[in-house]
Amino acid sequence: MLHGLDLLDEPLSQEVASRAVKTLARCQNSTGGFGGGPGQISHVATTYAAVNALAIVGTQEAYDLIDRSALLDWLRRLKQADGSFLMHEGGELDVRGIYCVLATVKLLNIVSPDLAANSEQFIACSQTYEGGIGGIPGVEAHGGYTFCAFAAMELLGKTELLDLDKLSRWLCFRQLAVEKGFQGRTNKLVDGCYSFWQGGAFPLLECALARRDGDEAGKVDLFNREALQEYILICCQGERGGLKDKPDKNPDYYHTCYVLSGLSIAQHRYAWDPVQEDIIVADGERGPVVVGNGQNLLPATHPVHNILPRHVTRIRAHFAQELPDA
Amino acid sequence: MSNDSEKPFSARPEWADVTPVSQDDGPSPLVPIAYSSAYSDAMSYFRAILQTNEYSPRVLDLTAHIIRLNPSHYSVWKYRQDAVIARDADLLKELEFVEEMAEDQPKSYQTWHYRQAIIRKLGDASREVEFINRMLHIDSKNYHAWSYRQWVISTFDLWDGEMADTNRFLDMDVRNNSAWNQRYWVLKNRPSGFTDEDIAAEVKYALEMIYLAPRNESPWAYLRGIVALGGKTLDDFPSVEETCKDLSDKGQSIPHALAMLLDMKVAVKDVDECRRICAILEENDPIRQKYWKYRAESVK
Repeated sequence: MLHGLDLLDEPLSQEVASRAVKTLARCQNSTGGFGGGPGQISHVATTYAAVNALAIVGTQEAYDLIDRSALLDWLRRLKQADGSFLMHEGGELDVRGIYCVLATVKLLNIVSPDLAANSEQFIACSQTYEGGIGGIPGVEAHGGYTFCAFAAMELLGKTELLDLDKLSRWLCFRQLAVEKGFQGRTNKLVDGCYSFWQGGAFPLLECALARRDGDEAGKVDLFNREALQEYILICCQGERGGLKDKPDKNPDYYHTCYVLSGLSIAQHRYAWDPVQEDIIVADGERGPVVVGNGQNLLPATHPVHNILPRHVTRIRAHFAQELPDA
Repeated sequence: MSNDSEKPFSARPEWADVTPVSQDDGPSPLVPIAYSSAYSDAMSYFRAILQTNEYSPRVLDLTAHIIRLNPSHYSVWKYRQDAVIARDADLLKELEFVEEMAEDQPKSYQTWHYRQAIIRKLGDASREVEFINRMLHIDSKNYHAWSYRQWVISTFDLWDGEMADTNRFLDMDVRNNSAWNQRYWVLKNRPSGFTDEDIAAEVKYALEMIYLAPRNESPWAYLRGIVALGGKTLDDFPSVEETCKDLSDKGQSIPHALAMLLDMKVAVKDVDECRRICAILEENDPIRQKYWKYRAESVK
């Protein structure tokens, strides 16, 4: 919700910010990480969401809440020899885990080689003959897992281990000619949330291709932004607010977040900056691409973390000064 | 106990010795969830037994109750998993429970993971393919079902008959991409491996399926995949080029056919042909205009 509000340029009051921190505090476990609610065991997806939320709040109180040392211990318990992570103790294993963990530790400056060990192998093995990436090696290429895998490879600095040509083709073919939105898998239905999972893979792809081919930053531009924006604006808005999967579905917070994120991705250009060694917003002279009213323009999101870039910069700068405890 | 299943736990005599523990959301939580009283009641008892790590039959009852109310409650599933294994509980009953939950919420990660944990402990997967088939009958593309199917087959060596099973799925729906993916997976991973004849047979099969529905992307991707798996190239199979030409002429202009011709021309570095085909594709597959432009520019 916080990210949705950010994308709609809604300011966060001090009161809401503080309540957010206190609410998330009830979700943190002394053994490390955050669960979905008070009394729930820690889970890497809810930890990813909690740390992102705290990064959005961005206050000292928010940063001070996070017990990084316990978090690191917990993550080490989840790490598997094949490079993957369990989603929680005794839980399931798939490529989401690698993304949630690596994105979290990057923001908190607790990146450590043992956490990243073999992860690039696991991800590379999960790329299928179709070119997209599945949850674990062998399973079908899928948009959600493809985003997680690709963003994780970006964090690992190993995008060159993927077959980028096959991945490009698969991604481009996930945009449907009639509906104009993205499907998650071949021959399945369009869904507004894939506006981010599939659409959001394009900035990563374009930067990876630019690095591989030595092309000018921002030169490669592969998907039909205008068409995606049309799908979102025409088909994904709830009559009483919120955003949704497709017409005849109800809006919910998940779709609101990811459809808005997808709209933002479709409006902005990005480029690989070799000096900062990061993907940066680069709308260039033409500026953002906005379908419909100029008021439809949303701020750019960070294509790896999916929170606003300034929140990423601020939290990383904060924890860069502090060394992890062990 | 079963006729008490509608009573709150606070009214059940077998729970009288337990003091319920309410959820501590803090003083002014953001976006607090409006739990039903039935849910809060059950969860208050769960929080209580968490404190003592109780693994009794009444706890199995309680966790089942909560899971029925919330099939994605990962903490409760995990607790049940630990309890069932610690107590050496009736694993076959657990399989029935999982099936009940899977029918209700076929896409819950927790349900499928739990089944896998039970089967690992049981060491007997003889019921699993049939269970998965029942679930695929409800939703032939259920991602968890196919993923679990791969685990069952590879762990328990149930490869025989899987290729034939994919045929069945594809007969029902030639566009079932999960079944195509499964077919590739079997070929690639089965211990008996594959021969050149197997690859040639798969090429023939893919081309037949392509003719059934030429705009179906699945067999085209599969064709590319198995040719590469077999260490071959597309032009090792004359019928491939024939099919592509057939489907890109006669006013049909099937984009997948043109795209495959493009791949073949890229492989032999025929720059002019590539650019010519990309130009046609920009017109015939306009949603991907930028991609076809990029492909044209990438040919060197």
